[in-house]
Amino acid sequence: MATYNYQPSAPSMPENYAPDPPTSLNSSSHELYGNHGYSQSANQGVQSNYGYSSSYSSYGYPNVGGQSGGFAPGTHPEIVRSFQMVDKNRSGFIEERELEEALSMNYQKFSLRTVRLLMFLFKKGDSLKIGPNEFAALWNCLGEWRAIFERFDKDRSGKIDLTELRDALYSLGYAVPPSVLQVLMSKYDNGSGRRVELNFDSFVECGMIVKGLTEKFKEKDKRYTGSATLTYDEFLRMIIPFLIP
Amino acid sequence: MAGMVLPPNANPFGYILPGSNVNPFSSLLPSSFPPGTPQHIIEAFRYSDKDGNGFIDDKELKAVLSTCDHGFSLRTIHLLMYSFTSTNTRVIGPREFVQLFTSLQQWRDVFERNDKDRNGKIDSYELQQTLQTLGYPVPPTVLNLLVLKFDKSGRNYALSYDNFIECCIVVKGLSDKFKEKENVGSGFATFTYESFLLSVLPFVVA
Repeated sequence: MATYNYQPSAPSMPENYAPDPPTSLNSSSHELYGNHGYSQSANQGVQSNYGYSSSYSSYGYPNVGGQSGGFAPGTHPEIVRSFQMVDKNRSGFIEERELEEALSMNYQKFSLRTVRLLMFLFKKGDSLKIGPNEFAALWNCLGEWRAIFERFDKDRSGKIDLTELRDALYSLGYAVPPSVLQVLMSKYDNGSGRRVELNFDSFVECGMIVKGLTEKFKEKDKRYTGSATLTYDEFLRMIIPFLIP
Repeated sequence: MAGMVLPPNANPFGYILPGSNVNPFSSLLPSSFPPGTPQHIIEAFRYSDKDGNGFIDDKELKAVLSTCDHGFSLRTIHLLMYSFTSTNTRVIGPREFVQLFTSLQQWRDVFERNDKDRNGKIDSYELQQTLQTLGYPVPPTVLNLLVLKFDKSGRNYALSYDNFIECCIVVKGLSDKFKEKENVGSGFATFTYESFLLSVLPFVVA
């Protein structure tokens, strides 16, 4: 059976990328925030007020591994603390329910579908739970996406529209065709006739789907021609894991 | 339309008489029951069309399928409608209803025939047989994924009837998309990045 050992992360930012200076970082009531380092490691080029890349080695927390069991050395204590808060039953793993609660506490209420999508993208193998390092990756990723969302939500309405979504995805390295954006946004159209806008939860869902499918497509288009030829088997195997029930 | 010369019995909305499935304007024509539609399907349509407006919307479809079979979520209903119209329409007319109804009947019949031990579930081997019969040569590697995905009981070894129907909807939908892009008979399909996302997203974001 095909399993996808999938390590999502935002693609590296262009050399000359410079994010806007932070605006209201300290106004958040989120549990998780650290100092606001700007990491220029390949995976994290975005100013983020949540979490740290584990390559931020000047902090060095030698006791982290021992305390919480399983975190990579250098993991920021805020992430460890968050993990411990989220892991209500102290199992050493985060289950779907726990993640849902944690996200709903820190952000607005996250839909179960987005929670499941995140679990799917960050877990290893067939497990239904995520461990400490997977959690750290997830938390960091969400932090990056939060920063991007805030950057593109120019009027601070808590929502972004189709154009802002296009730009946000572009800043993450995904040049999504307008036809595809239309299909994505149509999912969130509640038929009220008003312009469709996404809250952070929906933005994460959209973005993760685009990211996930694009990475799968790129695996089959190694020479970056923009086209891929697939067998029926490959086609189904690429897509079925994304059908979140 | 000014200046166009149409053959004598052309429908003004299309170049070809209605009923032909190569009519590029067929979506503009009123949907109607194809000749020879079994009476029970016509009656099923009339029964389902609770507000009598000649169309069945997503809620009417959900209601009628929930009495005959098991409950389906509105999301599954939307996916079902998408699989048969390739649009996000929330209403279907008689023609699409006939196709949909016939498929559902066919899926149910095949399910019952393959549920050899009559326990109301089919396992991944029976699923392979079932999908094969329906014309979908789904490889074994994918079958396990399907069971994992569609078995809502979480025990991941068999599909109940309604989970099976959801599985069929997706397999049919994705298989049709693959066939559209297949280099005829080769077993390979070529997608651009855009056509790939457009084919796949309706199933993923439903």
